[in-house]
Amino acid sequence: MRFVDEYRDADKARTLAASIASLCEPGRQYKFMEVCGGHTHTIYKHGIEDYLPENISLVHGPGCPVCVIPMGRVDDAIHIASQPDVIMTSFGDMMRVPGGDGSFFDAKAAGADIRMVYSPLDALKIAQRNPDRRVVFMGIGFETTAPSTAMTVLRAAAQGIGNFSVFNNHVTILPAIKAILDSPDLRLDGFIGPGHVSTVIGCRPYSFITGDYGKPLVVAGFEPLDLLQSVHMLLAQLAAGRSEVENQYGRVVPWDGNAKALQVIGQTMEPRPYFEWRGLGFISHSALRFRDEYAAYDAESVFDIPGGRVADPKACQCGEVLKGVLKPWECKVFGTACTPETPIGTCMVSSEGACAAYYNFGRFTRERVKEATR
Amino acid sequence: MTTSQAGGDCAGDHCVTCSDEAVPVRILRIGDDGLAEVDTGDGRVEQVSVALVDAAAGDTVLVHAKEAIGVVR
Repeated sequence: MRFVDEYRDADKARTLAASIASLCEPGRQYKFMEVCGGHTHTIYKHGIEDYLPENISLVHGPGCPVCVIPMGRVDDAIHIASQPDVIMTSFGDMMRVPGGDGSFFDAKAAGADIRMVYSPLDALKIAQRNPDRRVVFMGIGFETTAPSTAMTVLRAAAQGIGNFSVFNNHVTILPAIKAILDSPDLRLDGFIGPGHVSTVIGCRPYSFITGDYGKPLVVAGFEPLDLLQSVHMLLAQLAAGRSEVENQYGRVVPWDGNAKALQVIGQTMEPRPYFEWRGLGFISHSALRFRDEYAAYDAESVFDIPGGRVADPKACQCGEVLKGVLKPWECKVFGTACTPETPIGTCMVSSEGACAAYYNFGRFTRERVKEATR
Repeated sequence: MTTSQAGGDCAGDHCVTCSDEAVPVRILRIGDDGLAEVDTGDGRVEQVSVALVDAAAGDTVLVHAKEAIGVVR
C-alpha cells in the first residue's frame, strides 16, 4: 500500500538503527518524549524500542485526548445524555471512559440514548433525521479534531439546524507540553512532536520548546521508519549542539499548518481561562470553548450542567504515566485491577493510551526482561 | 475512520478520537457543498468534508473525523 509499505521496510530500519547507535555518546542516557498517543501505539505495535540502543528510552506524553479528560467532565456528559429528549453522540473511544459514576456504556445500559459516530458530521445527520430530539456531540480531541467540530457547527448554523449542540472538551497541546517542561519530575533530552496536530498548527508554535527550554523537537510521522528517523534527527541535533524544530513528516505537515482549519477554529472557539487535565491538574489556556456567537450550539449554554470535580481514583497512576514518569507496568494496578475491559484509569481505555498499547501488544520492557531473566 | 467497526471501541487498530494512523484517501468527486466522495483504499467509498483543504479529484488527503485536514504530497 502506498505511503505504508515503504515506511515499514525492515532492512531500512536496521540501517537506521545502526546509524542511531553510532550517534549515541558512550555512557550518556537519552530520554525522548513522544507527545502523541499515536506514536506510543506505533512504538509498542512495531517494537520500535527493540531497535534502539539501551541508553535511549522513549517516554509517553499527554497526547491522548481520551486519556486526559477529567472524570467530572464525563459525569457532566452523562448528565446531559440522561435528559429525556437527548441523543448523545460520541466517538467509540469515549464509551468506556469511566467518570465518577460510570461510563457512557453504563449510562446506555441504564437507558440513555447514546450512539457511536465516526464524526461530528454524522452526529449532525442524526439531528436532521430526529427534529423532535436534542442531539449532542461529545466534542473531544486536540487541534487535529477541533476543525471537524468547528466546521460541523458552521454547517449547522448555515443550514439552520436548531436541535444540535456540542459538549466542547477540545484541548490544545502546547500548554500541556509547557506544563511537562515546567514539572520537576522529569528530565527530557528532546521531543518527538505530534504529527497530525502539526498538520493543523504547523511547526512554528513549537519554537518556545527549542528556544526557551533548549530541547530539540522533531515533528514525526506514524510509521516505524518515521519514528526511527525522528530519533536519528534528535540525536544528530544533540550531537551537533543544536536545538531546533525539524519536520520529519513533510509529506503531510506543512511548516505553516492549515490556515483554513485554524481560521474555522478561531471563528467558532476561544481559549478557556483554564481546564482540568487528568493527572496534570488545571492548566491555563489549555482548552477551547465556543464563542458567545455560537452559544446556541454550545451544550454548556443549552443545558444546565452540574460541573462537579471528581478526584482521580487513588490506586490509579495515570498522572505519572501521562507525564512519562512511570512506565505503564510500574503502576500498582496495571494488568490486575486495571485492564482494557474494566479500566480504572483512562490510559487503559484508548488504544493510544500508553497502558492499553502496552497491554494489548504484550511487550516486555527491557528492564523487565532483565528482571525476569535475573 | 477505521476503529473497530464492530464495537466502535478501542479494540480496533487505532483510536478514532485521535485517528493518528495516517490512512490516506483519494478524492473521487467533489460536490458543491464542500463534501467529497473518497476512495478509502479498501473498496469503500465514503463521504467526507474537503472544505479546509485545497485539493482536487485525484488528490490524496489525510482525513480526520471525516474532515480532510491535509493533502499528502
